[in-house]
Amino acid sequence: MKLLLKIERKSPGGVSETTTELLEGETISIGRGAGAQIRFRDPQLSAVQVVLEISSDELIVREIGRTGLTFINGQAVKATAVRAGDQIKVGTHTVIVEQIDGLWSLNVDQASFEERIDDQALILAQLKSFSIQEKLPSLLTLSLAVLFLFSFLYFLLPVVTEDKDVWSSGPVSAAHKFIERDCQACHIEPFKQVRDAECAVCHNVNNHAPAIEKARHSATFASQRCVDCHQEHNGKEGIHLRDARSCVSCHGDIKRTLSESQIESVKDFSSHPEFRITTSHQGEKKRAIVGSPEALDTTPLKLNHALHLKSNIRGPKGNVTLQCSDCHATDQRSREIKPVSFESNCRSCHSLEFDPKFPGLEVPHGDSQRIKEFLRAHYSQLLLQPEQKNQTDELIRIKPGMGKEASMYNRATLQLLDQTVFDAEEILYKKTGCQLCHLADQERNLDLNKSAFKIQDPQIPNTWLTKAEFSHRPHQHMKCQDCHTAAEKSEKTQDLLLPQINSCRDCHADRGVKGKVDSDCVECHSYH
Amino acid sequence: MTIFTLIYLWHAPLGVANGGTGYGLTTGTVAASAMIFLMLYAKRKRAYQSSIGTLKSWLSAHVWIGAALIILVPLHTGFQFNYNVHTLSYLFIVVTILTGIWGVFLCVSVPPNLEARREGQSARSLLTEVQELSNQIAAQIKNKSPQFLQLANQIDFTVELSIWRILFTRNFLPVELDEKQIGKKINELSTQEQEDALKLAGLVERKILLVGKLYRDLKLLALLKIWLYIHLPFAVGAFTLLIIHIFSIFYLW
Repeated sequence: MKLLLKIERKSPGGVSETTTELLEGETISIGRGAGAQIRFRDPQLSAVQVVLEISSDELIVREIGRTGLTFINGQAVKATAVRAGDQIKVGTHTVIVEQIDGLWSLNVDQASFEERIDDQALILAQLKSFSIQEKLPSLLTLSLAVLFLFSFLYFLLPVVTEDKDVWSSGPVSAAHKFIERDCQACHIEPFKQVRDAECAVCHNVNNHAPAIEKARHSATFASQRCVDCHQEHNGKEGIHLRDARSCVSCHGDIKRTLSESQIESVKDFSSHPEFRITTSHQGEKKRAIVGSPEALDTTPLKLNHALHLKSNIRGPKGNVTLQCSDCHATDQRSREIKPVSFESNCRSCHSLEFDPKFPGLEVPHGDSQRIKEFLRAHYSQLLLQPEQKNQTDELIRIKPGMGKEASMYNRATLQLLDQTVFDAEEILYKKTGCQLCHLADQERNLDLNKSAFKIQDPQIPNTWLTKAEFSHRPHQHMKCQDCHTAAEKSEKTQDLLLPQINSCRDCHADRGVKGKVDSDCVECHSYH
Repeated sequence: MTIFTLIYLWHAPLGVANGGTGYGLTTGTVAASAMIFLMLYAKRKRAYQSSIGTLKSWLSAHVWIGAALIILVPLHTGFQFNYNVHTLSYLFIVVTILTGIWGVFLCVSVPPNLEARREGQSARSLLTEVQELSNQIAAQIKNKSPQFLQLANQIDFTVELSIWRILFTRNFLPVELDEKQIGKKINELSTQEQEDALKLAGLVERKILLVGKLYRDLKLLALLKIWLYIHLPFAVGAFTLLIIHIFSIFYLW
């Protein structure tokens, strides 16, 4: 068959120029590959996409390449005959069919054709497209892009805006979480270290502070700042320095740091001296080593632990056996031992009855003046209420019409009342009720409205070891006797039932000892 | 490095180990100086006239000092990593170092593996040969029956001009070749065309072989460059972040 190929070239000026080429062959092929007689530059086409053949004067278009890429007048075809004027679309290229003097011809735009480039140039072009440099921006561009991006994101933005979160060197401690995003709460000025003044905005530094003031002359504390010990941005644990070395640097040889110091040097828990209690007796503070004869409970109370802890002791409702917790109860919320009080711990067994004639009637516990007023009120009522006469037989009654005698009786009555109240007081303070536990002083007292008796203030100390913080809470699963071993045998009030440090060493030891609780200084002591 | 590690283990600062302790500041300064030295390699590499050490020894120092940073930086930070610019800097250092190690590995292993090179052929001569084959195949197709063309379409292929295709091709096999089916198709052709078809198949086979070789070599050559495309931008990123790190630490002192 023969086919005329008309290639139209349009110049930018609009003038078109046509070149023609006569193609011959059994069939004429259109495709992308080198084997096709009409080659189109279209990567989606097959090497041979369409075959044209003439059969009985008809031009047949047959799609043999990838399907769905050949259209005649817009209709997808597999194989069909075309007429003059038809448009064959192969991929993106359009061919117009004409018939001139029985010769079929195809009109094609020059732009559709693969440019005739020589092999060398083609290979160079191909090699270029294989090159990674052609596909990526240059190394310099990439590097500069990273540089500018980071400078903007992590330098410019944090400097300009308030949000400097990305600069934070680590999470702050739990206590400071609420100001974590507010850098300026602590970092007042750029490039200046955090000062103590910023801490003092919230924190009232005391307790140990006087000691620091005394030691300011020593090199250790001369330039000490809060943040030297309280390092922030080190996570949850960071803020509290648990390291014993910071304490031992002074306390290892305390006399060197502070020559007038009265306390002993300590290096670690195993070299910790025996506990010392602080007692305050008549305003005078005294310290004594636990276990020494001087370490006594000087509380003016009378208490026999051994007696209370005996089994089957006599109670108001029959025999009972007391447990430690019956008197030393644990607070439900704080899990600490509550202070002993008469109302909740003693009253159930120890009644404050004052007169056998009035069983069940008790004076209030506490102030002696209130007790006296209670007694006065009670006996006055008896005197004034005649219907109670069966109980007041011994008292003189005022009868109507007694006149002068009446005032005489009156005085006698008052005297009698004072005497009765005093007798009741004397029994309470000296024989029954109060004296069981308390020491009472009797004063010569001319003012009959005031009580002559005075209970010595028990002065039960809140804590014996004032320089440390002991908590019963972590120890709540132990038995009381595990530490307070002497309690069951203690008969005297002055027995100090406090355990000695060796008792602690059963479970506590220096950091790193296997099977024992790591016990740094801060386990019991605090700095400020 | 061993010494620094041993000192880290021996040194126990008050509180939590961090970059602000004496040890942290020392290792930080050493690491920052090392980073400057590593960046200077780019300069020395291009300074052909320089006589400050041979380039070979510079490269050796570049590799070893770089690798040391992977340990030195965590020692500096006390192994504290968080979501911040400081840890990001370390991440970039790590990526830089890993791609650097990859690059060293490629530079050592790739050249002996360049198959065509070994046979004295450049990528260019390979391509020329492929081009010639394509032309021969094209010549074979001329003036053939549609059945022949169909067969040619099935077994012939075009070389994909794409670096991405090359990079992600494992075993080069451009067309599914079912020998039985092809044999059957050849048998269906006229006897004259059968011979041409066998010739065509031979040409295509050789083309597959050559293009496969070309792909493998080009892939290796591309890898030789690609590692640097990760290494350098990450190195610049790490260095930028290092400067921001130092600035921000003292800004919020």
